[in-house]
Amino acid sequence: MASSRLGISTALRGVRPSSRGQWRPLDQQFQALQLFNDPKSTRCLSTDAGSFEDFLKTQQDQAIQAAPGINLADIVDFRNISYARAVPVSPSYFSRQPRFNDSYLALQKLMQSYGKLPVVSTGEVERVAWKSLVEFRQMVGERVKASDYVKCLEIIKRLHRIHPELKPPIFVEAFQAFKRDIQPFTNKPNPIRIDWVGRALGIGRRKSSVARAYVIEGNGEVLINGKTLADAFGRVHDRESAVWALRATDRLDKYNVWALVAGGGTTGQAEALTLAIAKGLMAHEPALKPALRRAGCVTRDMRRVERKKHGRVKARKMPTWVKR
Amino acid sequence: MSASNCLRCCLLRPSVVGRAGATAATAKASAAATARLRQGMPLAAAAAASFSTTANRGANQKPKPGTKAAERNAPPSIRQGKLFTIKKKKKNDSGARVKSPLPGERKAFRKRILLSNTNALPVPGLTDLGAESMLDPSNVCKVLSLPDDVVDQLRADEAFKTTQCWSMFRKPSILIRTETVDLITRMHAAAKTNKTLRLVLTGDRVTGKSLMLLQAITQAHLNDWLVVNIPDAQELTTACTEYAPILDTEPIQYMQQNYVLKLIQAIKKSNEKLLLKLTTVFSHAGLPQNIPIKSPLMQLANSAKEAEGAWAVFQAMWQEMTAQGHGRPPMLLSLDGLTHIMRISDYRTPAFNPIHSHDLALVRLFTDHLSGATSLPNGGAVIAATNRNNAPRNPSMELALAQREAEQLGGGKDVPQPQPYLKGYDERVEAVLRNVQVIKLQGLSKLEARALMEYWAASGVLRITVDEKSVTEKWALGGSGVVGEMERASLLTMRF
Amino acid sequence: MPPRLKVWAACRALSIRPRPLSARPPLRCAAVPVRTFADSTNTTNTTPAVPASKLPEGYEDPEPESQAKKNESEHDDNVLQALDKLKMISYGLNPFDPAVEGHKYGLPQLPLPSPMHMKHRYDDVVVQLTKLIMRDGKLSKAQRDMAMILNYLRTSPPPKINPSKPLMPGSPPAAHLPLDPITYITIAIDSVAPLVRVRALAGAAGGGKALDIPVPLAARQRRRMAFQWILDVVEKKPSKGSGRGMFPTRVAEEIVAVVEGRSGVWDKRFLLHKQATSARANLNYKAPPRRH
Repeated sequence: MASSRLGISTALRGVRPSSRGQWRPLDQQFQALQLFNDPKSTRCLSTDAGSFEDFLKTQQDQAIQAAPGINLADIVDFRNISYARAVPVSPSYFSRQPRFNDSYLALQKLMQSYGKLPVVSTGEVERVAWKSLVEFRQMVGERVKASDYVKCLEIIKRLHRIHPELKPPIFVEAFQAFKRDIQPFTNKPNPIRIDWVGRALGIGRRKSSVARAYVIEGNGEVLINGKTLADAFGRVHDRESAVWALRATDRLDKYNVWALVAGGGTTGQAEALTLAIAKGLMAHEPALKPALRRAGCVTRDMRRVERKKHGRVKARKMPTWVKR
Repeated sequence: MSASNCLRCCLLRPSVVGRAGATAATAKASAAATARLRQGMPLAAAAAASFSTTANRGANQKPKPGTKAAERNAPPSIRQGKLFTIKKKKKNDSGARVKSPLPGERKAFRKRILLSNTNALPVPGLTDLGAESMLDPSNVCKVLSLPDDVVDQLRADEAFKTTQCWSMFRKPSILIRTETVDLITRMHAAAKTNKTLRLVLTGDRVTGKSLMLLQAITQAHLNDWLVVNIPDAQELTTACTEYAPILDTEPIQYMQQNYVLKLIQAIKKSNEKLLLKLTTVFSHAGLPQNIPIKSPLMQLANSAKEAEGAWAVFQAMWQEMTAQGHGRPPMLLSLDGLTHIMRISDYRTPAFNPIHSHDLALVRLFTDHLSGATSLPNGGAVIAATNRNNAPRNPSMELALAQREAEQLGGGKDVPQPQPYLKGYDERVEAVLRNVQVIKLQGLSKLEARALMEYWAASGVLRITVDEKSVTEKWALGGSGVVGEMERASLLTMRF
Repeated sequence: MPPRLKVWAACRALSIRPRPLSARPPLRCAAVPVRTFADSTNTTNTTPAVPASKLPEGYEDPEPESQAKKNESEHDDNVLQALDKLKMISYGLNPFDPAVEGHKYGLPQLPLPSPMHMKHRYDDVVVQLTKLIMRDGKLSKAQRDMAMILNYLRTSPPPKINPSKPLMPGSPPAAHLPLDPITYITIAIDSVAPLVRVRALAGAAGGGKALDIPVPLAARQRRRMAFQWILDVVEKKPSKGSGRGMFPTRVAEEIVAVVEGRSGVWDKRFLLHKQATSARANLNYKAPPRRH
C-alpha cells in the first residue's frame, strides 16, 4: 500500500518535467496554473482509495478477492507486521459495488489532481460516446445507482475537456472502462473529391428520395433527370428548395448542376436535392459550410413516415369506438 | 338555308337527342305500342315483361324466420344497445339566402380581362410600338407598350388571354424577342411580294406562343392589314356550338353559324376603319339583305344580325376581303390552339360517325390556307399557334412539326420518322403541315430576361434589385428562361 | 480539434509578421468575377487581373472616379498579399489551394438574414395565414391561394379607410398598401384582431355558474382569431365566378372590406371587447385552493 500511495506523486512528477521541457510558451501562458505537490499525508485510512494504478491492477485481476489468510506459523518476527489479520485488496471490498466504487474514487482522485488544468471549449472537445448505465452495469456486473453513475460521468466529462496536449496518458486507461466499445464518432465520411473535369458529386436524401447532384462551375444551368427545373418541379416552392444552397450563398450564376433524383414525392425529391447540391458545393468551397448551415441546407432531415401498428388504423389512429 | 333548319334538330349532339325524344328510335317504339293496343293487349304488362321482376318479387315476399334477412328487419332486441350511427348533417338554413349569380355571369367573371393596374407605377421611358418597331433588330430586348387603339382592336380579336399577367401593369406592354423580329420580318417579306407566309408557332408550355401570335396581330393592325383571328380553336371542335351540313358539298362540310356570327362581329370591331373604307366589288346572292356593289364592307358585315345566314355573309365577306386587284390590304389569318383542329372533332354525322375537324367549313378554310392549297391573293400571313395545356394527344401533328423543324435546321439524317408500330397517325393532318414554316419558341436569353425583369421592377410589382444574380436566379427557376414560369416564380409568389 | 495551440497558430502570434493573417482582405483573384465554363480548356481561374474588355456584361466598375487612388491602394494590397503568400509557403502551405482559402467567390456575410433559411423563407404572418387556409394537409394549394390573395391585393385600388374603424397606429397611408401586399394583409389582420378573449371558468361564479374572465392574447393568437373570423365570413359568401381562383378572391375581398371598415368582423371584435370590459371586475378572481 505504501508504495502504491507514492504512485500518484510519481505520476505527477512525470507530468511536470515533461511539460516544462516541451511546452515552455504554454507554461508562461498558464502561470496561474498550480499543480499539486506531493501528497502531504503519509497515513492512509482504510476507506481511502488507493492510487489509480491500484485500481488498474484490480481491474486486471477481474474479480476482487480477499487477501490470503495469514499463516501465523510462518511468521517469525511480529514487529514488521502492520495488520494482524487478512485485509482485502480493495478498500471497497465490503460495499455493494466494489468495482464501481473503486473506479469512482479513483476518478475523484484524478479530479483532485488534474482538475485545475486548462480546458478547451465544449465545441472543440473530441467527441466520445460514453457507456450508458445499462451497458456499464452489464460490464461490471453490479447494481450501480443511476445517480452515482451520472456523477461519475460528470467527472469524466470534465476531465475529458482538459486540453488534449496536457492530458496525462493515464487518462486513456482511466476512461477506457467508460467508453463504449464502438465509437460512432470515429466514423468520418469520405471527403468529396472534385474529379478531373471539375465535378463534385454530392448525395442527399430526404424522406424516401435519393438525389445525386454533380456540381460544376458554370453559369446557372440546372438539369434534373434531364429536365429543366421548371419541368422537373411544378411547384415554385420546390424549385426554390432544390437550388436553395446556391441561392443562399449567391452562387446560382456561378455553378451548373446536373442531378439525378429518384424515389419519393416532389417535396422529398426537392429537399434531397438541396442536401446533394449543398454537399457538392461544399466540396468546391469548404468555407461555405457555416453559411450553408445557417441556410438550413446541411442537416439531413431524418424524419420518415411512421410505421403502421397492429390494432390501429394508421400509425396512431385508433379504430372508431363502437359500444358493442 | 331553310333546308338546314329541319336537319339541325337531327344533328344535335347525341346527349341532346336523347333528351329531345322525337327521334326515329322512339318513334319505332311508339308504333309498336299502338299495334299492341289495337290487339287489346295490356300495355303495362308488355312493358313489364321486357324487364326482370326478381327484385320486385323479392320485395313482396316475407323473409323466412331465422334467416339473415329476417334478423335485419326485426325490431332491435332490448339487450341490444344503441348502434353507433352518424347523423346526417342538417343543412344550415339559418342564414339569409344569398342571390346566386345569373346564368353566364360566372363565365363572364372568369373570362374577364383586366389590362391595367392603377397601382403599378408608370414605367419611365416606355414608348409605344410603331409600325416598324418590331422589324428593327435594335429593339430586341426592349419592352414596348401597345398603343391604345391597337389595344381595343386586340380586345375585339380576343388576343389577350386570362392566363397572361396583363392585370398587373399600368399599360399593356410586350417584350421584343429575337423570335419576334424573325417572325415579323418574315411577315413583311411575304406581304411585299404578295405571297402568303404559312407558319406554325410551337414550343413548350408557357413559352409565349400566344403572346407571339398577339405580336403578329399587333403588327398587322399597326400596318393596316385585315385581321381574322380565331382566338380559341377549341370552341370549334369540342361540339359546344351548333353545326349544320352545307348543301351541295362532297364530301359534306359543316358550318357553325353561331360561331361565325361571333367571328363576323369580332372582325367588324377590330377592322372597323378598313371595312368602312373598302367597298364591295361583287354582287352576292342569297344574303339576308341585298348589298349593292360599291357599298362599304361594313354594311355587308352589318347584314349578319342573326346566326341564320351568317355563313353566307361570312363567305361573301371573305370573297370581298380577298378580292384581287382592288387595292385590298394584306391579310392576317391567325388561329390559337392548332392542336384542337388537327384531330377528329366531337361532332357526329346523322349516321353517328365522327366528323373530322377538317370537314368543318371554317376549319377547312383555315387549313386550306395553312397548307397552301389556297393562298391569299393580296399577300399576308397564315399563322397558327399550338397549345400545350389542355391539348389532346396529336402524334401526327407533333411528328410533322418536328420534321419541319429538323428540315429547317438542314438536318438530312436527323429528320424524325413515324414510328412503325404507333397507331393514330392522320394523313390529312400531315398533308396540311407538309409545307409550313415552324418557329419553335424556347426560353428567353438572359438579356431578354433581364429586360423583362427590369420592366417588372420599374412597374413596382417586383421588389428586388435586378442584377446578374437575381436574373440568373429567376431564369433558372423558370426552367432556363421559360417566360411564363419566370412570371410564376417572380410575380405570383408569396414572397416579394 | 482546438486550433489555438497548433504550431502554426503559435507562429502567427510572432511579432515579425507584417500583418495578422486573419485580418487579411480576401484575395484579389477571388473578387474578380471570372468564370471557367464547363467546356473551356483553360482551367486556371486565378488570373489576378482581367482587362476591362473581357469583363462580362453587367459587371461595372464600382468607382471609376477614384481610379488612381484605388490603383495605389491596390498596389499596396498586392504587395501585402504577395508577402502573405510567401509567408504561407514558408509555413508549408500552398497559397493557391482553394482548400486553404475555402472559397472562390467571396463569402456571404454571416449571420445570413432570416429569409435566407430554407425553412423561414416566407414572412411569418403569411406562413401562419397559409396554414390557416390549408385544408386536408394540402399545403401546396394553400400556398397558391395565398399567392393569389396577395396578387389580388396588389391589383385592387387603394382602400378608402373608414375613420370610425381606424387601422393600427403607425400603419402606412392607404395609397402605399397595394404595392406592398404583405404589409396590407398584416395590417388588416392586426387591426381587426381582438386584444383579449373571454374565458368562461366553469363553476367559478358559484352555484354552478361560469365566470367570465378576460384573458389577454399573444400576437399569434390574436391573428389566428381574426383570420378565423374572416374565413367564417368568406365561407358564407357566394362566389362570383367559377374556377380555382374564386376562394382566394373572396378572401382578398374580405380583407379589403376589413381595411375599408365594411366588414362584419369589426362588429365581432367590438362585441368581444365589450364583453371583456364588462367582465373586467372578474380579473381579481383567484381560484380557491384545491381540496382533496
